[in-house]
Amino acid sequence: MASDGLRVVDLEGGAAGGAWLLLSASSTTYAIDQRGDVPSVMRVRGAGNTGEDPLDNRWLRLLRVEPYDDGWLTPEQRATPHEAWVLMVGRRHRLVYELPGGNPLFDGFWVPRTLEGIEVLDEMPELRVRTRGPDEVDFSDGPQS
Amino acid sequence: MTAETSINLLKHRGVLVVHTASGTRYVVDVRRGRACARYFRARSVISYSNRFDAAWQPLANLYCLHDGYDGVSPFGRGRPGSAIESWVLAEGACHVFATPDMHPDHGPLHGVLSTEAARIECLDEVPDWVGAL
Repeated sequence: MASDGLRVVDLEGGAAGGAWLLLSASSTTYAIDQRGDVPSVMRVRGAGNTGEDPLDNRWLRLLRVEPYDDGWLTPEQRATPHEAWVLMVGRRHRLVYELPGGNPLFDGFWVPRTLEGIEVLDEMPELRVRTRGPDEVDFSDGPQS
Repeated sequence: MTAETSINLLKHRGVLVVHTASGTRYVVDVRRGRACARYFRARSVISYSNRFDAAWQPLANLYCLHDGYDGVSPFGRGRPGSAIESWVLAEGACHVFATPDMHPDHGPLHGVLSTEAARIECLDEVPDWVGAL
């Protein structure tokens, strides 16, 4: 389900625990899943004139989401702080992933094109997973123990 | 000689030949179990070369990266938790062969990434063409 108003997603703050699809001018999209024990990232290769990576279409461990400055930021954008683990529409990001089985000193990364949209990947929550906060009261069955 | 779709090397003893989409062949020798596992990369003419080609290398770990995209959804083939398996060979998946790297500038392990496995052969002995390379 597309969320038109979604401009900023803080993957460490209130948005932690979700799954997102990063859209850009490219047919290639990037999926981020934070619902597991460790965050995961997948480069979903699109059709047409897009780069190919041997690790495309595979879930990899996401180590960091960093802001990426390609030198074309507007003065307004430069004045706005962009922190790690924050997705901002209109900015570029560096998605750092773990190279499986490789040298732990070197990590792989992708720099997608300018983020143009964030799509929420809707899915039912897993079994026995809390769907409301510990201090959120449901008046049909009382406070959560 | 039988072909399997997915093989757990912790339960399997024998020699496996992975024919990848690029033509490169990987021979995995687990006749003596995981502790003595080794692999041999027979590079095809269109593949990249690396320092560990055409020789038996100790296999420290083997990762199986399943193709998680069915063309529609990134969750089309399951959740990320099951995306990377260790010591599993599967057809259609990429594999990373991790071997100890003694180079002083590099880390303890070096991972060699393969293209998709087109076919996996189960043998009892190392095939003859390995010695000829």
